[in-house]
Amino acid sequence: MDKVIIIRVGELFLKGNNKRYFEDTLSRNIRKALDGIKCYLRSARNRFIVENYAERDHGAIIMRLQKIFGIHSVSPAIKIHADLDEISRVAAEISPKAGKFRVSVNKADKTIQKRSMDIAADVGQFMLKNSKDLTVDLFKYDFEVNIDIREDKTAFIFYERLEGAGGLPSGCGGKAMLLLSGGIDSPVAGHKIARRGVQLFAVHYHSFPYTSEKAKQKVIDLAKTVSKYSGDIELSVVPFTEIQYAIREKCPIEFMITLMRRFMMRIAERLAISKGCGALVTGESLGQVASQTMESIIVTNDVVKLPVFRPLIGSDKYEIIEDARNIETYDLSILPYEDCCTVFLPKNPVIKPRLSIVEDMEKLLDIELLVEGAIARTETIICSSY
Amino acid sequence: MIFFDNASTTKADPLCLDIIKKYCFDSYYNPSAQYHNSVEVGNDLKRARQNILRLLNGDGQFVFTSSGTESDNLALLGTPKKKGSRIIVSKAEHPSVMKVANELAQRGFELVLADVDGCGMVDFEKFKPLVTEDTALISVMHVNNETGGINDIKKLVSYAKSVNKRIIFHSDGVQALGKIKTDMAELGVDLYSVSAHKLHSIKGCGGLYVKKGVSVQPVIFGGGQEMGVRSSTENIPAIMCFEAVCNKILPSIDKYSSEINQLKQYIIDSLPQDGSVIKISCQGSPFILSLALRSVRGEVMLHALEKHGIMLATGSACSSSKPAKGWKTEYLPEEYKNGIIRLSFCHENDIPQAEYFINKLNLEYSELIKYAK
Repeated sequence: MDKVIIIRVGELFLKGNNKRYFEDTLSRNIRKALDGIKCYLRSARNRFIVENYAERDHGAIIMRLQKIFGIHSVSPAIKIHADLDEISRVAAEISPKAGKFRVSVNKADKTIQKRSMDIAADVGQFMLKNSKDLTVDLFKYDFEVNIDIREDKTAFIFYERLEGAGGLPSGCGGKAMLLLSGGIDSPVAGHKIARRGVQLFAVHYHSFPYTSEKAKQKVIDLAKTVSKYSGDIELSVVPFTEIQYAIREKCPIEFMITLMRRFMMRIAERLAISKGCGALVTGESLGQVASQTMESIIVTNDVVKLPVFRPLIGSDKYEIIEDARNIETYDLSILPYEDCCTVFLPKNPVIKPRLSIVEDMEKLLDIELLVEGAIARTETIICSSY
Repeated sequence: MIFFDNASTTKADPLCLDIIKKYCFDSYYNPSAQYHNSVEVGNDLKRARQNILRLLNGDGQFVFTSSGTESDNLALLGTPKKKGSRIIVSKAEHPSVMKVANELAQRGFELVLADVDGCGMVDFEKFKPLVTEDTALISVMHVNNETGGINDIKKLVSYAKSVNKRIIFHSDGVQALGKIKTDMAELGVDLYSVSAHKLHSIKGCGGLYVKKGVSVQPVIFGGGQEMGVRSSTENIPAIMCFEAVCNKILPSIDKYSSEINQLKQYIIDSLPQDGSVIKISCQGSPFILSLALRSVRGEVMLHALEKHGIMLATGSACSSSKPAKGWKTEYLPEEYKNGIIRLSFCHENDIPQAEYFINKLNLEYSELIKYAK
């Protein structure tokens, strides 16, 4: 009698000929997430099984698995030799001792003569005999005891089905570059895109000495938190002060944010291309702040050719906060350190910038020199969760 | 590396190493246990307590705690007070007093804040009418942690006692111990908080002086250690280190402080004359110097200087993420209000470091001011 964990995959079955590729990617991601925990992972017809692990690691394995994209649900199960009496005994032992239940049997081993329905009835009978507080209800049940008898005469018995993170395995949907500010929105945006199988890279703009080491550490911690779901994130920390100085010197302060955002997009795109990313990701939500009006987005979007994914564009702030709480980035995001956007913040930023005016202003700046200068001094940090 | 943040913590004196080793590996026994070895440790503890009391010239008890913060909590929460009675604390208190006082206000005590000047020193004339017959507790810090301003505790105590001799007077002496004279008999305080790691000992140890006849009720309950006032197995290695540094430093305060004063004066004299950087610190502890920068944020300067290996603070490290408190900026011209930096010294700092600091300060200031709003 061994404890095992059954992993069910999400949408992979939809993927036809690519199924193998998706499964391989997921298998790799699971192995990576379970790194450091001694266990054995094997794949078995539309599912994976984790076995041969120490009892004390059980909780940690489940917690890690639940964060991996592409996993639909996980079930702690007992693996035994498929002996019918033994199955009944174990089912009664591991299941709750009170409530309404039903038993479902899935039998791949055709050498066992008894029909699945009859096995289920026998197990149910046994459980009822064992506990007075149990009743059978095939439709409105509190829990379902599952018995899965495989061809190799092993049986898996479980009743819990813990929700997984859903989505697609990270890495099977290309790569994207997330603009990670340190606020509430961008980690949530990154999580949403990663959930669709995208491998994340991130870029953060650091305005030393206007922003602190602690602000930078906060962004690293945010990337590490998101990486629990997405897998490792390569974070590029770009020194941004020189660019802010140049804008401050040459351009009207009201345009500070618009011009800064255009630089951020340019740099993000160059870094993205150099890492093989096919898109940029931002946490923008329409109308949330001055730089996120439609007019501002038109102007900032204009400097890049890569598609920009904005998964939160239609979300309200409270919805984003709820998501941030769920993925455990919220408490980090609200730590009160300055980020580069609040440096040189004008009192009255332009809300509806016009592209032609902004382009005229930029003629006063040596854009190429500033962008390349910042990229040359970029620091790269691999953010890994476990 | 230049460490000008000694008010937040200090480097431990190397003599701590042998003491930690002794009390962790040889005499590691619980002083409450029954066998000979632990009795010996208990005797060491008693000796350390008496020695610190002697160095403080105190008549009463010295309760070891885990920190200055715990000592302040014990002082404010543990003193018996009639329900609804008045508690006076100065507006410049550290959060470890201020937040406890606010908590007491929530519990139904009448909290009154004593006005301070730009150095955090209590305004005596404004203080006097606050002290009433039904005042139970007064807490005024000895040396202000942000400006180095020294309160005339002796004067405040004697006035308070003249109104009602049963008033309990507590002073937070965390920035005073080992920096200025801390003579309990002379100050006349009932309770006095200190912290070991501000004085080149290790973290995790503080203490509360309790004058003879003053009652303090426990805040932490358990095995009844520390005369029943503070249960917990005593942190013997840290306590013994604390005693050792007190032994070393307290008798030589005059020598230390005159050296530090020269350093402080050197920095003050070397400040640019154009008003770009002004000093806030008043007649006070030589160990703390607060400066205000015109139109440059203190936090930005802090990071800029970090690049040159200079570490300092923008205020009290315990609340460094919050804007400057009202009292500190009230008397400052508008353009200096966000520009406060705090330097705090110890005997390891010297004139060449001060010279280097001034150079880098001027250099960074001239850069940063270009882009100031």
